[in-house]
Amino acid sequence: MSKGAPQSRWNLPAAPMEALLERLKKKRSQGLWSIAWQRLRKDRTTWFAFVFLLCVGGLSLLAPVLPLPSPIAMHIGKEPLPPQVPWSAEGRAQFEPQYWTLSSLDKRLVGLRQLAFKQWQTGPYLGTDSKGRDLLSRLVWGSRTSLFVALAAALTSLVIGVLYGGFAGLVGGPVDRIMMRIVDALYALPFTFVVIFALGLLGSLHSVAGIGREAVFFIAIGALYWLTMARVVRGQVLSLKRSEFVLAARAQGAGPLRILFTHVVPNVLSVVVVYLTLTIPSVMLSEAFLSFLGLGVEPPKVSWGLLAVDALEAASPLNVYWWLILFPALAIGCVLLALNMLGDGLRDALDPHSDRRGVQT
Amino acid sequence: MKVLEVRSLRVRFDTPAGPLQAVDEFSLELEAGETVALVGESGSGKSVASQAILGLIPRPPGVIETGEVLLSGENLLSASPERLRQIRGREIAIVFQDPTASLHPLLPIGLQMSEVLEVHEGLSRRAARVRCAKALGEVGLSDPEKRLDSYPHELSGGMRQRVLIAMALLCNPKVLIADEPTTALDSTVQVQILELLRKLQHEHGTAILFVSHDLGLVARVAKRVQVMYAGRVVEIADAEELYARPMHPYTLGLLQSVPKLSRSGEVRLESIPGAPPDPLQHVVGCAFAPRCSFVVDQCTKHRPPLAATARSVLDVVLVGGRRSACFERERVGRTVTKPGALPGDLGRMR
Repeated sequence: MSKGAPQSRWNLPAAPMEALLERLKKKRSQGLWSIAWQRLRKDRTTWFAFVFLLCVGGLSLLAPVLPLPSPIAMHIGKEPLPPQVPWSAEGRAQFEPQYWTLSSLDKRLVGLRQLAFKQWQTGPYLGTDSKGRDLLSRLVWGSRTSLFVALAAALTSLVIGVLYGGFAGLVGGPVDRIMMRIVDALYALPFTFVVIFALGLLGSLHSVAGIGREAVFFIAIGALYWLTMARVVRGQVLSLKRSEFVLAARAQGAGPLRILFTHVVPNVLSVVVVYLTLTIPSVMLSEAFLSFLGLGVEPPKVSWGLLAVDALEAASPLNVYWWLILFPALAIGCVLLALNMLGDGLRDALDPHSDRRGVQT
Repeated sequence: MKVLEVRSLRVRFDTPAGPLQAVDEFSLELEAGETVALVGESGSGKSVASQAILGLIPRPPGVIETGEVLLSGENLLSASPERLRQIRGREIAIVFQDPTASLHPLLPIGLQMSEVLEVHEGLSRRAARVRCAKALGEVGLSDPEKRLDSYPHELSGGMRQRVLIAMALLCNPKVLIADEPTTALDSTVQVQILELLRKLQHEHGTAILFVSHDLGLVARVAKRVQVMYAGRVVEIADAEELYARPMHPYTLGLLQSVPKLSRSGEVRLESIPGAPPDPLQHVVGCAFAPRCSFVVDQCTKHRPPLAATARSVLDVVLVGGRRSACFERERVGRTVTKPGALPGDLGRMR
């Protein structure tokens, strides 16, 4: 600090301070979210996982438009074909639009596909199964089930779980105690048994309410998969509510909504994100498991769990059709891995403490 | 001119073990630009009293039974929540004890600071940023621009407390409540923070309510001192007079138990015998009586009022004077005669 320079009242030389303020006026300030987004983009692993999941999501959404063979068109009496290189002409047949009952949107998309690609379809790049159905097509169509289940679980976790837990934590007192006892009671229900039991009831319900097997599955997910989320969020909110920085924010005149959204939510969010990325894989797995047991998705619809059943049925001591088990397993594995990596990365991105990868913003 | 006045405030907490009288008949007067210290041990109710001023006591379990908190004549205890929010941070700001816990760990400093300005002055984030950088410079942080983007964990304890002080003073409040602002800091930083507070007070004309358990610190900053014991104010006096001639046995005990540099290391540190009363128990008479060496019959039967000392009846009328809640205040006042009996270091620190 030179002595001759005029002093501002901040005990700093006036000129640099003014320059600094000028620079500040030009610089755009960042919020919590834009900072988190930047960190995410700089974290290559997470970014890769994110893009991968986006691609998978895009593929499964666009499944009807893609020039894939029909997932259920059978060619019985042939041995399963091993995977073919794309330029081989082997197994290329004419496209037959065979599907289960599709939603009207999907029907329109299939119509679009027929307009665009006519009769052309891809060859059996990933081989065919014991009934001659194209594995690639079945994988892509099956991912829709997984995606749908994952979305349903994420939605119930987020909406019911976070709101319920957050409310209980914020209100506290007897309300909180009663709400948490309800969660405890629901916790006591074993998920698989609930589904089996509900399916048993279905026989009598089906004629009355028109509830299908899949609907039961989704209702069971909806009823049970928000519980842990509610608990986790409630615990977080409870401790945050009493934290000193929330008190400090109140002391500065911040209203309840501002406190909720700038001070409580971001702190809860990292936990929610982590828990969500753990919930989604477990739901996807339990869907595959229940479908494998014959309790989930019904053929002719496809799901990744059903693909595993097909592989198991086709396999014999003489001939293990490796592609039938490898590709569905790979698909499940990659998606679950990507979800876990994304969750970890998101947690890091939302938590400024974890600059351990040297990600600087 | 009085900026803040608290009259006979009573705060109770309804705990599972029964009602707990945290603050009883608490009064306070704060003039513009002056510093008043609130001194007492842990659990004496000083933090509760200071937080009750801003309505920050969690209710339930807290209950404000009686009292008035007057900010320039407006009673904050009967103010609407919206009005209270307008006052918090703008008219009265508070700095808490633990700078680490008081900062949101996930937000950069700049965002947290600008919140005050967004709430009270409706500034855009960019405009607020400029003000925040200024304020950071004012509390002596180098490179304020960079600091705005720092996270709390990237700053030292002293820097965090500076940030909090800067944040508290952003809207130029009339009153700053400093609730043990230096307790979590080491002693060299403590002194820096005190100097900073004093400088800022001088520049902004802010009245400071300095809550502390550290008599040495209080001697440095406060003009007037209020000593609290078991939820009650037991003595009010000008700082110099209080240190020179305490007129409540508790104050005397506190002063005698301050370690002194001038004495040799072999002298055992004096302490007040006994323990503070269980706040759940209702005490008849003086709460300090069981630990007091000046105790007389009257003490266990009646509660001594916070009354003016004989010498200062006129002072009370004129300037507020000194008061003590002890029947034997004159006798206590006479005990300190020989120089050196009280910590001379305190005087030297000023």
